[in-house]
Amino acid sequence: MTETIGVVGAGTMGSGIAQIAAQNGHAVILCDAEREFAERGTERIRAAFARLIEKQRMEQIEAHAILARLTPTAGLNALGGCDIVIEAAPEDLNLKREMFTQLDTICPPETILASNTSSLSISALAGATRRPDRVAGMHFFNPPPLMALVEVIRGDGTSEATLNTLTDLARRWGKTPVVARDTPGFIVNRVARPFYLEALRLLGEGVADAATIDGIVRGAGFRMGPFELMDLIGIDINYAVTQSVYHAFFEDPRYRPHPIQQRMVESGRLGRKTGRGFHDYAEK
Amino acid sequence: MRAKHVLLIGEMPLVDELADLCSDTGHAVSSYLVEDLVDAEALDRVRGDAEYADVAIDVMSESIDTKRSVIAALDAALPPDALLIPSALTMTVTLAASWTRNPNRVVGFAALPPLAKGATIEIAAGLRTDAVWLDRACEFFKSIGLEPVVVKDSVALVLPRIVCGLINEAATALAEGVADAQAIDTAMRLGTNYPRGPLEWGDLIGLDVVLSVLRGLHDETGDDHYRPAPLLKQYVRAGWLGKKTGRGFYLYT
Repeated sequence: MTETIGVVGAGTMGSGIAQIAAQNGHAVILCDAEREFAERGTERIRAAFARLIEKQRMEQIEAHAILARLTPTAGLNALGGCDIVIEAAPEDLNLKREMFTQLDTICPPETILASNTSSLSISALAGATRRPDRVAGMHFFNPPPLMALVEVIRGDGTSEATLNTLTDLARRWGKTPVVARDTPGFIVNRVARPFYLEALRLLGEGVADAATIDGIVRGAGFRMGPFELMDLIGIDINYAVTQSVYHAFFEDPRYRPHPIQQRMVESGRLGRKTGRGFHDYAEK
Repeated sequence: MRAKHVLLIGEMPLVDELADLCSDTGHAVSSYLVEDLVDAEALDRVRGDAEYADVAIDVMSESIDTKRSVIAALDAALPPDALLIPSALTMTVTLAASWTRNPNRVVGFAALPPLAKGATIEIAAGLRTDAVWLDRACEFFKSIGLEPVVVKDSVALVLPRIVCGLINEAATALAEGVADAQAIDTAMRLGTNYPRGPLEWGDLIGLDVVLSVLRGLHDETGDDHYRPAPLLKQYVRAGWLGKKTGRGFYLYT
């Protein structure tokens, strides 16, 4: 059985999720606020395939067939025929709750409503529907087609059946799902915090400079050191995640952000994307 | 560098890993586990070895009192031109050096298992360490196939502070029922490309050592940011220290 998948939000994450679903044979409805944004999403996918074709990892004919499964659309109304909807809209609780209330009306009662949220409560989204048993988190990592992990989040009312459907789907998509409870940061965004926060403290205390710390950490087998990783992710994005977890735990000192990151964001040193972060990135 | 007499005292697995690196590169090694130092006789044997040692390395994290008495005893017995290298996992080098009469030749180190040839080892000078001794410590670690990196004196230096922070947070998440141990480790390996999951790494290091590092950081800074997860304390109380005792977050047969 190939489910019809709805994806809400055609940004980086939404397009990536839609790409995976389409590549795995599903009909996909990719929607956004405007038709134009949804089409930008399919363009992103087309461009990703073009790169694969160039590297001879995909045939043109295959790409056409996959793209034919994608339907860009404006608004949520076209999602009425979906078996599973994955929401990847901006991280705004009220916005998402509003969407879930609408989806609850638009979609038949058996449709699973999943959210790719990284920082909001799944139970809060479920509370905006009459089907909390069918609401869960399905949290992908950036970029979705490449990252194997998917966190499947159990809300307060999520049923085992829903969790099983989503973990099964993730496996069919070649991903490794892990189930986690609806708590701030789920697993990765929470447990990873010390990787960055201790590094920032070490830097602030003058124990070593950023290059030395990165070198020591890489020497221990990590793919990237904390400062080069913050530069890659975006210092602003990393700071926002830290703040989100910090506030969600009511300012528990465990998660306390660091002045260095605030100062860097305020001064526009965001990492690779601005040419300067903890390290410099010369124009090529 | 000519072959040295190296005296090692401390905990598994680092004592063994360092002993192997030393003997593989032609040094003469005598090593003692902390649990062997049960009586005055044992301490006398250590003093005896210290009189002929060129390098003495302490890898003790659990008991501050034991560490203090061993370091003081080593300092008294070691020749004046011998290196004394305490572990800085749970305290600063300056503190360990304060238990000696020769703080100038005390250089601290920090490393986590697995420690194999080519690995990085952090070293730090105490406030009263002379620069020439820091150089000698670098040369010694290079001679056993490690890559020394000099950092500033602080509790746990760089890598152990970061990794024990990760283990602490993973243990907290586990205790809160966020996910089971396998899920947490899998998530951290796949979601962020860590070399191993924090919980399995904790079992490898020894949960007693991890707890001591966190306590050291908590005491030194007075910052609740470092408060150890109660679950870690419970596991240590129960003797579930990880691989070395057959059980930690996981079972080892």
